[in-house]
Formats: sequence, structure tokens, C-alpha cells
Amino acid sequence: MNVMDYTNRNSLIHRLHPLTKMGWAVVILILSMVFTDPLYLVGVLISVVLVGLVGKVIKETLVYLTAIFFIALIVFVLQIAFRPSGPVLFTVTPESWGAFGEWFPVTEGGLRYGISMGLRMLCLVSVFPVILTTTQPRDIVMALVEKLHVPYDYAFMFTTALRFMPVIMSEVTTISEAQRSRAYAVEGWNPIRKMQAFAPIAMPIVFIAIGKADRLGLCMELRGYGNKNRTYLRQLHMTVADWVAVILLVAAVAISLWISSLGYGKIVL
Amino acid sequence: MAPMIQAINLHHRYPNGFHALHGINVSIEAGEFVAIIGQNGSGKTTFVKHLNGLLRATEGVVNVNGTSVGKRPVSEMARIVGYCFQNPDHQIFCDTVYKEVAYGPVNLKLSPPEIEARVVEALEAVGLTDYKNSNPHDLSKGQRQRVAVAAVLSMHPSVLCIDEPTTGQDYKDGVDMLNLIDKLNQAGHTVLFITHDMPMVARFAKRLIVFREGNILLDGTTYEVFENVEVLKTTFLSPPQITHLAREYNQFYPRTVLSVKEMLDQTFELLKLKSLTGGIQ
Repeated sequence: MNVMDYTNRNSLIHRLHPLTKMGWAVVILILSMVFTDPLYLVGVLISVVLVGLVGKVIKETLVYLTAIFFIALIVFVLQIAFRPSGPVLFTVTPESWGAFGEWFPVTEGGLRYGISMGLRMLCLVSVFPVILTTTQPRDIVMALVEKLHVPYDYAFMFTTALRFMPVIMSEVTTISEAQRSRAYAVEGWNPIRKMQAFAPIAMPIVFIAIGKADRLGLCMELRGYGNKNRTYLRQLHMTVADWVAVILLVAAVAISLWISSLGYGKIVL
Repeated sequence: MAPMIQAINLHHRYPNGFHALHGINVSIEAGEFVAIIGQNGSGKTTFVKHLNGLLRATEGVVNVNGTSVGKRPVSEMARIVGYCFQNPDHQIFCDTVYKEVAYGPVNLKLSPPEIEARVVEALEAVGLTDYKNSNPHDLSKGQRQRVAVAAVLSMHPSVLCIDEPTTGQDYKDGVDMLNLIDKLNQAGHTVLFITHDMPMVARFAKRLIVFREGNILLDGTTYEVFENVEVLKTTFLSPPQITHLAREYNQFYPRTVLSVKEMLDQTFELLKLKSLTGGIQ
């Protein structure tokens, strides 16, 4: 089960228009750009998790955030290393190490920026699991094509790529089982040996993927793909809930800009 | 002597919670020729994947050649149990048939002369000696399936498991494939094959194991299993047409018929009997 797959549950968030949810993603983006104070960013993150809770996808959201947490950790460390400011709190290597002593100083500003940038990244990506688990890919495509006038070819490419991943992964499983049945095993730590060991998996998957893409293209043409005037079976409409959400989102942006103009929500050094 | 394959109370539950095998008990002797049949999702492939360790028993044990599969790695089990997947394109990755067939023996870390001998022997067995320098992707589907069988054969497994060897092939390729498997069985390999092709089953298999919803529904000789038409119907299986025809006239054909030849034999027996007793009464 993929954490980013659509979940067929009935919730307020599921029923919202895809555009409303995309708008929400943009608002979260703005909010996490406006604030740098970790406390405010934690607030933004909690708001996203709450939306996940209302959308009955809290488990998926948290699983995804835990996985992403390690990348946030890397961001955190990079900020400390490359954005030092303010007083040095301590150095990673102690003074007593002589020539190697007092390397990698950790500054107060670096630490604060690290925490803030890590949180900002978590905020930015946390909307994806919520949107993707509560919105069907075909609805996202429809919203993009119909309302935002993205060319259908690109929108289709986007959803097909999403849809292809699980298919390819299941083929990889079958291929690896077939090769293991021929005593295939990746042994040792030698990286060149390991690269070579991927050929028995990589070659069949390339052949199969090309074959599949070829047949997919053929089937699409047979079903009239590329015809000028597309019509749609399902029409999406903005509901009262959507308009309420839009008003709340606009209000959130306005209030956050106002707070920030008063000088709150920033790291002060 | 211990049976070649033995499953005792074998259960399997997939990570997604699907209970695929509900306590399988089966014993297969060395040298048997077994067809495994049943609907999609009945547990056929799940069962066979336990024989070389691709799947591990959730409960119960699987013994191969007298020792438990337990947690032994698949690469070790591959010496005893050869598993040929349904689609040869899932395993073909080399640019010549020779290299493809040599891949298994190379993994077994055999000496180069031994590898060469085994490849020559395996290609000979599947009738592809002339194609050893061809690119496998230039061959027909039936020939690629043979390459896949040769690639497993070159590892000298005692047991050969073949998943749907005739699917997607024309009648001639299908019969050729099963003739090859029959020959390998006569050469001493224990053969298990999964199929949906009842005429082929009737023609080649000596024993049938019928799966339904993770249980073994029927297990016996091909004759015994095909007698149970009503039970087979519950899992949407049906013996070959000639068997049905003979059943319609079961006052003349008391024994289960699996082929036209068997029906003719019984007809001749009947005629001889009639002529001895003085014509039709």
C-alpha cells in the first residue's frame, strides 16, 4: 500500500474541489515563506495535520512526514554548516583534538535557521500526502485542464507517470523473484559488483516498460486520443464548502501578512 | 524414503492480510508429473513459491528432499527446485541465448568447463542448440519460453516448477512445450506445472492437484480427478470434451476416458465383446 495513493473515504476534504485544495497548498506555501519563527511554523504544520485529521488520512500523512523527517534533518544540518551567525555555542570537534580541534562551529543563528528551514520544508511537503490521498488523480487532471488551461497532453503525462510507478514496481518484484530463482543474489559490499548485479533486474524492466508504453500509446490512439474537442463525463463544481474554504484561506493569508508586517513571526538575532 | 516435496499444514498470509493458503497437506514423490489447476487466486502460485523459498510459510512446514525449506535462501534452494516463471521476458536479460542459459550455473559458482557442459546439455534438451548465439529477443515467444526452461534446467534441479507453460502460445508450441516437459520428467525430474489448459492436462499429467480458495479440493491421478465432474464444476473446471462424451454413454464406457484414443480402445473392446456374445442384444 502506497502512502500517496488515493484513499476511498468519505470526508469533507475528499468532497472539496481539487482547485480549492491546490489553493490551500499555495496558502501553506505563502505562510511558510512569511514566517521564520519555529513556533509559527509548528503552528502551520499542526494546521496541515489537522486538515489531514478531518480528511481521515491522518495515518498516511504521519507515515509520510516521518519518512520526510530525515530529509528535514539534512536541511537542518546544512543550515548549521553554511549559515553561521551570532555567538558560537560549541564546536563539533573538541579543542583538545589539536590540529583537528574546534572544527564545525555551531552558532546560535545557525541552529535557529536550521530548525526553521527544516520545519519550513516539512510544512511545504506535508500538503502533498493530504491532497493526493483525498483527491482522485483524474480530478486533479480535470481541474488542471479545464480550469487552469494546462494542455491535456502534459496533464495526462503527469497522471500516467504517477499511475505507472506501482505497475513498474510490481513488475520489478516479479523480475527479482524470477532471477532469485536462478540463484541471483547481491552479495558483498563492492559497489562495482553491486552495479553489475542490477543488470539482471534492470534489463528486463527496461524492455517491459518500453513495451508497455508502446501498447499504452496504441490503446490511447484506438480510443480517440488527440481528437480536438474533448468532452468530460464528470463535471466538477464549486460548492458552498469550497467558497467557505476559499474565504478562510484568503483571510489566513491576509492575517498572516498583517501579523508579519507588525514584526511578529520572524527570527530576531 | 522421504517424499520429494511435502507440505504439512501450510498456511500463507500475505502482508496485506490476504489468507492465501489454508493448511495445505500434500506429498509428492520423486519423479511424479503433477499438474496444479484451479481458478486465478486459488493459491496455486502461492503454493509453488514456497517450494524454493520465494514465499515463507506463515504456519506449517514445507520439506523438499527430506529437509525443511525453513529460512534457507532462495539462491540455495535454486539448486534443488527450478522455478520457471510464466512470462520469459521477466528473466531474459542477456544478449545471447548461451549467456542467458549460463547465468544460473555462473551464480552457482561452477567451473567454466562444467558451465559449458551444462549449457550445451540444456540447449540440447530444449532443442535450441542452433540458436545459442542468437539474441533471445529475436526469438518467438515459444522459443523464449524454451530459453527460460533451459536457463532453469542448466542448474540441474531435481524439481521443475513451471508456471503456465502453454499460455499465449499456439497449439503446436503448446504441445511441443509439454512434450519437452514430459521428456524431462522421464529423464528423472519431478515436474509440477500450473495450467488452465485442460486438454493438455488430460494428455500429459499423471496426477492432478486442484486448488480452490486456498485449499486442496481434489488430489489424485488424472483419471480419478476428472471423474468428479460435479466437484470440478464448483470451481469452474471441466474435463476435456471427450471425457464428457464418454460420460454421456457411461453404460458403454464404464472407465473414465481422457483421450480419443482411449475412447476408441474401449469401443473396440466393446465391439469385440459384442461379437463374442453374438451381436447387439
